[in-house]
Amino acid sequence: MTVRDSSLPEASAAPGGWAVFIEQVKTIGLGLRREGLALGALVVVVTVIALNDVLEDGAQLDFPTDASFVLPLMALLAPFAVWKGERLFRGAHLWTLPVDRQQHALTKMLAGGVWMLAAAVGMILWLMLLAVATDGAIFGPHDRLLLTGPITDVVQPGQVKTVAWTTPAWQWASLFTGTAIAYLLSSAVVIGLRYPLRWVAGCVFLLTFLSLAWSEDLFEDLLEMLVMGPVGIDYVLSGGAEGLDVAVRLADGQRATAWRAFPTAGPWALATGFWFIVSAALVWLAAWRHRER
Amino acid sequence: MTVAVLNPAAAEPMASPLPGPHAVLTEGLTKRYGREVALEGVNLQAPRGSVYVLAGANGAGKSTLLRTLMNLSAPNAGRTEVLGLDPRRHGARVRAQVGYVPEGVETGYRWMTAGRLLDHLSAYYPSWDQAYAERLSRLLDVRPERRIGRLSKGQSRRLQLVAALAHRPPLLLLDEPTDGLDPVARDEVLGLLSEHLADTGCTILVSTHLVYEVERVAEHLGVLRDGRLVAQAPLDRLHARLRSYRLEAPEGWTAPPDLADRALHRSGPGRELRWTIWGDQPEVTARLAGAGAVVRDVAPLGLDEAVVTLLRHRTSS
Repeated sequence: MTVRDSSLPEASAAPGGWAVFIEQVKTIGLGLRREGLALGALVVVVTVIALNDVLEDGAQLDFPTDASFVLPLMALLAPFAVWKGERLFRGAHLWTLPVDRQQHALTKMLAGGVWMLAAAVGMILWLMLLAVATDGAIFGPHDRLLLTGPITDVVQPGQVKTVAWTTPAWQWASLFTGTAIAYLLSSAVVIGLRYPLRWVAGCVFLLTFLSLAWSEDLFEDLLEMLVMGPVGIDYVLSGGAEGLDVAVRLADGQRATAWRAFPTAGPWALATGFWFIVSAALVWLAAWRHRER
Repeated sequence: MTVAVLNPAAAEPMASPLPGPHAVLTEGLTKRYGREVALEGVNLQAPRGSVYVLAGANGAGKSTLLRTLMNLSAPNAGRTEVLGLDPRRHGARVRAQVGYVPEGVETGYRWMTAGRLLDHLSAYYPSWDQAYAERLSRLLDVRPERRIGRLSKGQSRRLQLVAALAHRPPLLLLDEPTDGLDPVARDEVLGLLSEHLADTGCTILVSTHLVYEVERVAEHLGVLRDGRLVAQAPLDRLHARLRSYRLEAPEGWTAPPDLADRALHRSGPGRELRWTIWGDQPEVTARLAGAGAVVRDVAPLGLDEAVVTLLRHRTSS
C-alpha cells in the first residue's frame, strides 16, 4: 500500500484557466500534426512551381492581395480540424474534464485560434519570402491604375492615372482580423450545430433551390449583399479593395484592372467591428448550448 | 419452476434509505429520452467511504445514472447531490472530485498515445500523482506509446482505470470497469480498487451487470430494473433478510397472504418447496411453521443469486 504524499493538492482543486488553455494549445497542436504536414507539403509544391516560373520568365512575385481571401478560407476549414474527434453532442471527452463546459468550449476554440493565427503568420512570412526572393513588392510603393473619370468601354488616357500605392497598416491588419473573424464564424458552426456539414450543405441547397424556384437573382442578390454590402465581407477582408476593382480596356487595346477609388480604413473598421461582434456572439451562443445544466 | 408475481415490499421495503453522510444522493431522479424512460424516481444513497454496487441488466439505466451524476446528462426531474454538491450547478467542481470510468471504451482522442493522455489529464487535475500513475500503468500493463485508437477493449479499460485513479479522487464512478478484462486483469483491478479504497478512504460507486466480479469489495447493493431502484441495502442486511427457505408442506398448502407477498421466488416440485423470502429469518420461520410448513433448511443467497432474484422478480402491479 502506498502512503499519500501530504504535499499533493486536495483532489477537489480545480485546474486554473491558464493551465487549461496551455494544455489545450499543446493538445490541439499535437492533434493538428497531420494537417500541418499537409499544409507544409502544399507550401513546398507551390514554392517550387512559383520559383520555376520565376526562373523561366524572370517574373517578380509581389505579395499577393489574394492572401486576404486565401487565409480566411483556411480559417473557415480550421475549426473542423480543431474539433475533430470531439463528439460534442454525444459525450465528448472534453465534457468529462473538471472545467465548466461553456468555458471549456471557448478555451479550446481560443487555443485553436492560436494555431490558426500562427499558421496565418507562417503563410504571410512565406509569401513575403517569395516576394523578397524574386525582387517583388511587399511594403514599398507599387504602381496601381486609378480611374479618374467614368467607366467607359475604352478608357482614354485622361481618365486613368498611375499612382504609387503603399499598403497601409490597416490593410496588413485586415489579413489577421479577416482570418480571425472567419475562424470565429466557422467555430460557431462547428461547436453549435450537431451536424455542421449537413447544415452548411442544407443552407446552400435551400438558397440554390429558392433562387431557382422564386427568383433567379435571389442567390446573387444575397451574395452581393453579403460580400459587397455596407458591412460586407469585402470590407472586412480588404477594406473594399476588391469591390473597387474594375476591369478596363485602355486606349492602346490592353486590358487592365484599375481602382475606382482608394480603399480606406473607415469602412474596413466598421465592417470588421460589426463582424467581430456578430461572430463572437455566435461563438458564445454555440458554446452556451453546451453549458452546465 | 414458478416465479412469484407478488409484492414483497408490503412488510418491509427492499429499497430503504442508507445511513449518511452520503457521497452520492439522488431523490426522485427521472430521465427520459423522448418517450423512453431511462430512470424513474430513483432514490439512491451511497454512504461516504463505502463501495456501492449498482446492479442491473443491460439497459436498466445504470450508465444514465452515472452520467447524470457527472452532469453529462441532464435529468428531467429530481435532485442529485455528489459530495454535497449539485452537479447541475457545480459540474466542474464535481468532476474535479470524481474518477470516472465511462461505459464507452474510448477516453481521449484516437490519435493520442496512452502516455500523452495521462499527461493531458495531469494538467486538469492539480492533485494528479505522477508516481502513482506510473505505478498503476506498470501494474495494469498500460504502455504509454500505444495509440488510443489501436487499443483493445481491455487495454482501453485499463487506461481508463489509471486515468480515474491517478488523481486520487474522493469518489470513483465506475461504469462496468471490468468489461473487456481477462480474469487476471480483473483480479488485478479489484485488488487495486481495494488498495485504493484502503489508502484513500474514497467512495466507490460501481455499476455492473456481473456482480460476482465485484462481490469481494461490495458493501452496499442497489438494484436497478427498467429505470427503477427496486432494492437498496447494505450487503449484511441483504444477506440477513433475503434468504432461501427449503420447506416441506402438506398437499394443497397455502402460505399466509402477507408472507406470500414477501416471497420473491417460489419453486420446487410437489410438497418440497424452495422459497426466497425477504424478511427477518426467525419471524419468517415462525410464520411458516405456524402455517403448517416444516422449514428444513435456510440459506443466505450469494450476491449474484440475490441480484438475479431481485431482477427476475416482477410485482403484481
